[in-house]
Amino acid sequence: MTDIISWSSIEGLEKAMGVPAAHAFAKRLLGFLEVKVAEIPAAFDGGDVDAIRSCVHKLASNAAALGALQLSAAARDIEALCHAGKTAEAAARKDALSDLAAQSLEILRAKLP
Amino acid sequence: MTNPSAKTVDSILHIVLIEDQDVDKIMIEQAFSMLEQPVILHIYSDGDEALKEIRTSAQVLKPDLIITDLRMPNKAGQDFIREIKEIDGLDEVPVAVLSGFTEEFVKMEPMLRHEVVALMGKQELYSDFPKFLGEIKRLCAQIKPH
Repeated sequence: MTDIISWSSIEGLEKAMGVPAAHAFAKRLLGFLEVKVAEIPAAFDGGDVDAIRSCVHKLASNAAALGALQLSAAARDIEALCHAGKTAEAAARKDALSDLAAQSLEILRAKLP
Repeated sequence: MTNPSAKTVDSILHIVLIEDQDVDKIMIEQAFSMLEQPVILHIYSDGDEALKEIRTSAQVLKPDLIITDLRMPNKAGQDFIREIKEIDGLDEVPVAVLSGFTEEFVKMEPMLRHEVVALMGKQELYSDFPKFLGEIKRLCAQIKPH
């Protein structure tokens, strides 16, 4: 099982630009991730497949950029369900996705105070 | 986005980036800002918007490099590349592809893949930024400003 967060993403930024600049940059990315996570309920509750697909497509990239690999993979799986027309199955994963997003954010916020 | 530099205007690379993801745009901008080579990035969120702008401005300012995502709204990256390669004067502009879906590299038509100077995975952008930076540096070193 992949760790909730892979630190290689932030470590790569640290190596490229130094720790203070990397953490400032990563906090900026974290802000984007927080916005995307906050958009999950509205995107899923409407039952619109395009809204769900758009939400998880962006969430997957935002999460991957910070090494939140489980969250990114979960979002990609839901995106694949949307592409396959399995809207109900995709929508049913909302709570699991939200829980994983909350865990990921908690760990990242602790790393990037 | 411009790199502060004492380099001459002639040495500035004009690079078109077509990318719909905000976080990816920010990370790519960050990578280009760290190059010694001065770069101006012209960023578009989809292929249609980019094609319209490039067609309009090509006689004044031909891009030195185009980097495009493959999976985008409105116009897929493959279609964008095909159309760019059909425009006189733009057919010689090198095109690099950046995608989070490496399986899409495999699915690209062989003729189009042949036209692409670099295939870059977003996985490296996310998980190994120094490596991505290295790829960007190598790519820019191969490009001659128009």
